[in-house]
Amino acid sequence: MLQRELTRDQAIQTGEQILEVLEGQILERGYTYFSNGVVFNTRVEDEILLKSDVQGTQVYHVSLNMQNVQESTCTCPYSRLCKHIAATFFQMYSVFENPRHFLARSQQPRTLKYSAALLVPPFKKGIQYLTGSHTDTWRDGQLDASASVAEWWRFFESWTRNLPSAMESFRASSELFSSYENLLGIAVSWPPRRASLFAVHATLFHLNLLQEFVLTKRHSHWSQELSQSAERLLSNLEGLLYYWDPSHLDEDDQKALNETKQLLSEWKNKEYLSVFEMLAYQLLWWNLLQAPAWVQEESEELDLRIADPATTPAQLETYRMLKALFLVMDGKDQDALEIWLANQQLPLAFYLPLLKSFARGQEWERFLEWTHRLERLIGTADQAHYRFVTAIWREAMKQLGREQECGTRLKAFLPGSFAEYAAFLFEHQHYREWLDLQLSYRIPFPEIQAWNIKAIEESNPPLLLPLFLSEVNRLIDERNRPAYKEAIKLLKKVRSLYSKLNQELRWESYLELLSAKHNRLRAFQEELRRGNLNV
Amino acid sequence: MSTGTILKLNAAQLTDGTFLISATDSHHLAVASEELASFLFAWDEQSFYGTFLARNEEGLLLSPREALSFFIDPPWLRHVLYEPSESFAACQNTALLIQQCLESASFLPDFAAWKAGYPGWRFADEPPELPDSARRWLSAVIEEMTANRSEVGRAWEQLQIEYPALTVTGEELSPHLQEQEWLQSIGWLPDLTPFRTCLQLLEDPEGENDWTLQFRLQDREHPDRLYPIEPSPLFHKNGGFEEIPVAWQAYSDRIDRDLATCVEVMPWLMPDEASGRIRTRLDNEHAWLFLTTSSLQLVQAGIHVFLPAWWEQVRRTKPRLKAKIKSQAGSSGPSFLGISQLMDFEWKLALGDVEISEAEFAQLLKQKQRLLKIRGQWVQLTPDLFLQMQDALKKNRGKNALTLRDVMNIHLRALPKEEDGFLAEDDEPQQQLALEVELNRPLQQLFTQLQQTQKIPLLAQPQAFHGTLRNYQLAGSSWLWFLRKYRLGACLADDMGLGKTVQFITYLLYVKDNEEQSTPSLLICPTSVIGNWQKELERFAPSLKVVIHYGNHRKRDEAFLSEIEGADLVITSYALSHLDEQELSRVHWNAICLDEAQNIKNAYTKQASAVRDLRANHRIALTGTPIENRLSELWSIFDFLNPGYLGGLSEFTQRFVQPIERDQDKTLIAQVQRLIQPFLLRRVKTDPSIQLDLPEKSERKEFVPLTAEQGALYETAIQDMFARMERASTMERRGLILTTLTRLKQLCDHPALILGEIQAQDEVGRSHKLERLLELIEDIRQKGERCLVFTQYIEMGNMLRRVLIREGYGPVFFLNGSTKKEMRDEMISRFQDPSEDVENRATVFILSLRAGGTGLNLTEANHVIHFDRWWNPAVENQATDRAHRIGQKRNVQVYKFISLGTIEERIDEMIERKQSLSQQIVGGSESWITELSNAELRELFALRHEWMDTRR
Repeated sequence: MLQRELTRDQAIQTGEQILEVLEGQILERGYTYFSNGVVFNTRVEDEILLKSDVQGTQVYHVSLNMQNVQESTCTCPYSRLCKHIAATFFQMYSVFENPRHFLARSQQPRTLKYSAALLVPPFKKGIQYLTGSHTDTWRDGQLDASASVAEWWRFFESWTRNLPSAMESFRASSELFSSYENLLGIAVSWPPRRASLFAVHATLFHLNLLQEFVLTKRHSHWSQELSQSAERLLSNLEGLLYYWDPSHLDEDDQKALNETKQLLSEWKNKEYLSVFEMLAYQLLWWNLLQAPAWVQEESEELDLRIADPATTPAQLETYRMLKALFLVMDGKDQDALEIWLANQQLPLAFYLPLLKSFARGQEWERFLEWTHRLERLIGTADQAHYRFVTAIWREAMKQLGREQECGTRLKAFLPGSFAEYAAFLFEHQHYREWLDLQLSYRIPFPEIQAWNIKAIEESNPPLLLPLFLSEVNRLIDERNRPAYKEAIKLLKKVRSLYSKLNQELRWESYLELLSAKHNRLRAFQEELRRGNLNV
Repeated sequence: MSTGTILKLNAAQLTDGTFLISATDSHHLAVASEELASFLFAWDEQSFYGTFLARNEEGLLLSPREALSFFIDPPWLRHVLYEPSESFAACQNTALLIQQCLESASFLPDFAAWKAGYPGWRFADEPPELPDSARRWLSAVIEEMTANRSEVGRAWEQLQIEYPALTVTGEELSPHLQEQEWLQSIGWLPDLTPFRTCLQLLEDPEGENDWTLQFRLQDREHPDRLYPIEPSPLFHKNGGFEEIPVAWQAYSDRIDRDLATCVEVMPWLMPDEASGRIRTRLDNEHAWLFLTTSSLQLVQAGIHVFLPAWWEQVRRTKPRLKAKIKSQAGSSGPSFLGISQLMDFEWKLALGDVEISEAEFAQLLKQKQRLLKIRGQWVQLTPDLFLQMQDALKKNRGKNALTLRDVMNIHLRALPKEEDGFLAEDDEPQQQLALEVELNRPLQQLFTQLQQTQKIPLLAQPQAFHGTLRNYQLAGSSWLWFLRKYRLGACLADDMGLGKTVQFITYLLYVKDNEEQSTPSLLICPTSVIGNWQKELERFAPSLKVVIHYGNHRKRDEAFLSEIEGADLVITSYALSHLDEQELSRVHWNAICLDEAQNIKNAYTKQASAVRDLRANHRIALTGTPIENRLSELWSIFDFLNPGYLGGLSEFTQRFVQPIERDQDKTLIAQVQRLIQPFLLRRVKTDPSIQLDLPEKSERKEFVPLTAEQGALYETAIQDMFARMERASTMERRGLILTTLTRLKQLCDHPALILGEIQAQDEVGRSHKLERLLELIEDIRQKGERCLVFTQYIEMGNMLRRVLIREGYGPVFFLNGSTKKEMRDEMISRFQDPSEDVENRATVFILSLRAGGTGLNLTEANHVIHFDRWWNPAVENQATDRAHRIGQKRNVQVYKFISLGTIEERIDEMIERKQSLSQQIVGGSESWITELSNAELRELFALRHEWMDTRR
């Protein structure tokens, strides 16, 4: 059917768009869905809409816009282009091309295309999208929308009485999220603003609980599973606050916010704050508790404590970290960065909410300033983060009319930018730089493409000598005959390079020295002779 | 992808001045040297991108100069972050200072360093915080630059020639020298004196022990202007400068200083300090000191020295030890006995053309005469040289005295004169004196004759010889006789068929004619040719009394002695030479002759050593194989002929055999040939001087296909072998291969041979070889001619004989290893005798290759058929030569039978290609085949089917 309704070109063209806007992880998950055979009823509507039903946690309905993939939709909670869209794409693509090849290609380093959707939380507005499969399990009356924040927290406490021991006995993150999502279910039918504030507190509570759990039961060790849980909670928090509408707050809201502020100011008294908690603290102050008086009060309180000689060094460090946020709010970005960058433990993720916030506010200069200071972190971040930040960075450069500089500036983001930067250098025929890059990163010779070498050989052959010679050295050091044979092959190329450069004497002295250096390697000498390369 | 793009660099200067560069990566792990080289020198062309930098386990080792350019302008990668440590940064700073210093040329020689023993340099104006190592670094950099073969290096060498003082360091520098003076002496500071002080050594034309030391001032501007001065400080203080330019008088201090330097170098110039007189008359001893040591020191101290022109010549003359043979030795000719004869010598030391005896030398040394004028020539005599001479003499006296053997060895091994001159250029002082022998007249003549056979007087054919000797045969006999006079063993190695037998017989006649008969001579030969010898002796020299010591009835013990009483020649076999050693060794033989002497080629066999131990006045070896190329065989034969002449076997092997076999060393081959040449006479049929009129020999290959039966058996045999080889041990494998080889070759001859059929059916139809043979023999018989048939297999011979007789070609002779001697002689004489009745005289003579291949004379046949092939063509040719030899009147036709597609064809191909005919193959053994790999075996053995007979 699809075969008749669509063309191969359409499939390929859609694929190119997909590669630009979908993350490799999402595509991988989409491929799993597709290969599990959960994509049904694939059909073409209005010539450009590819529709299907995908069986996930529930059945979701996908509409893939082949003309503009960004416009595609799915009924799942994920707010961006999701795995169900990817699965639908694979279903269609497999009719024309090999989807495995496409998947392989998508896992190669590539750039992500900027779109405003990148800055949107990964789930849609409304806490029903955060409850997972836990809905409607609630009997009325246990807690209602009118309860105060303090009551919420008391309820949380009693609700999670058995959670820590369950987390200890079973998979901690599953237990945690089961409890969390269940809890959110209570507020699904509440007024949206109330519900979302409730969700914020539920998130904070669980983050607290997780922190406590790690501290007491795991000797402060954040396993990958647990730190991922924390990240997920923070991501939810960030999303909730993104959708927070600060206009027309009623009295109850004000009261709840006030309580929230009280609660949060207590945090700085904690003996130990994890990075996650600090992030939560920041998110709340940045997005929710913006009232100038509150901000000033908290900031001054921190100043006092920092100045207090009785403060212990560990506390001082915490206060400074917290204070930095207020510096940013004050426009004193450099001072804030001074404090944060001094702490080498902070990952790029720590800065991401702020970066996104700058981008949303189109503060492009500010964004660039920050990325400039964070170059090293960006370069060493994981590929997903790297791609995400550089996609926005590119947009920032573009907005400021500095698109031309992007190529050369990629150097600052090494090693993360290696593939992009190398491609840029090569494309612009900065061959010496390109080779320098390969040599600096000790890229194995076999991984360097023949057409790269050929192009350089045609334009500037002597540049290849260091590459070839170091490969010869490496091959000889392997100390086995197949490697020697390879070395001989390469040596013949070296010879022809030297002769092309009219440097036969140089070649001879090289060969003589090489042969002398390895005169004990009988097999190598034999291969030299066999290759007629003996001196 | 590596994230290790941050390198923390460290540098340290090691005690030897080199720099160790090491690094750690972002994880504080040390970076391996190899990797470091490619990180730090990735773009450094000079070191081939780091390939050839010295390194150790910790890091890279840079020479001072390499380090300098590295620190100043590192050829770094742009995508690696280099973090220099403090030590590294300090090196970078120092490097910059040195670079600036070198660029602005603001450095100068460091007198302190020179005094301390090495040429060092320092900064002209030393920067305040200069690290201690900087001077050392600077010095090392400059040293590296000057040691280089580049422009700087050459300029430096030039400078050293101009200012020899540059090479003087450490204690050789005068302690009184001031820096300023020193800088002048090395040419760093200009020397403004208008003259230089010079010394000249003059020999007194009259006396032989009288020299004059002349002091002069040389004009720097006009070097040919020399002004003699009186070397007395008092003298010029008194204003005695009549002849010196007035302007120079201001520099009298300089003259004083130079004179003081001279006295410092040669304290003996002023034996009496009080008088202040410098002596200018020298004796030989002091002149010698001046020439050998002081002159050099003076030059280095900045004083110019003129030496006599002949001095250089004297210095370079290489002394040799010369043995002059005392005049009487060898003069009496024949009284001169054998190669072990001790020679009487007079030893002389030869220096150029001058010769002095040991006693004279000792006397001169005692007089402290190191420099001696002999016959107008100065020569240098040092105690060292005397020790060397005594050492050499000790080695060549008493028990180790030189014999004729050694003399010949020295004489023949010595290189031709012009090469000698070339070797003298060698400037390494020789620890051992070169030995030289000067021959007296008679020996000179003897050696010439030995080296040029035509100079040996040709004797007339003995009266008692029946028949006519050819010229070359007479020459051969004369040569044997000439060597006999000097008791020198002789090897007559003429080509097959040139008549070695008659030459030896003639020699025996000479001995009988010219010497008082004492004991008989002894001839040892292979059993198969005893009869032949007997016949030839009867025919050519019936006057000689011959005793055959052979067979079960041979005489033993005393009976043996009485048996040989009065005989001229005793003939025996190699086997008996060992078995009857007791009898044979009781006689001191007049001469011993080994026929087919290659029989003793293996020096370690009892046979060979038994033969070597026999006593005789003269020893002769006859052989037809070209022994000069088979070195160990050669040694065995020569050790029999002239014991000890070629040294011990192991010495000979080490010295000649191994290097020659390894490298085919031409000069060594030539040396061996020079050594053996006097005792070896070899003429070949093709020599123009031989003028042999042998009829032609033409060869034809008869290619014959296998029958279907043979083909099937052949295949089975091969398959059987490979199947059994899989489970065979190495030894079993060898055995298996050899048996199979034999089976295959037999099969090619006739299938009945391997089927063990006693009386085969339809013999002719089952082998095309046999068919072809019958056709050929029919032709030959039609023409009334005769043929020899050679085969390697007794059964084949038997079958041939049986078939031929049955087919009516009888009588047919068959000679093999088990044929009794009487039978052999009978068969040969009947075959050879034209007067014999046709009924008794065979047309066909079958011989087994091994028993009949050598020594026999069967010239009545003019057809030779090789029924099967042998690896070595020489063996086949030897067999062919039974017919193709002197006495043959018709052209000889040779047929070689080859079964197509089989191992025989492969053998033939190998012989034709002459490839892989290594020593082993030529040696005739088949064992090399057993060492082949399975694949090679398959290739060698496999039957090529296109040649299968499909007629049946």
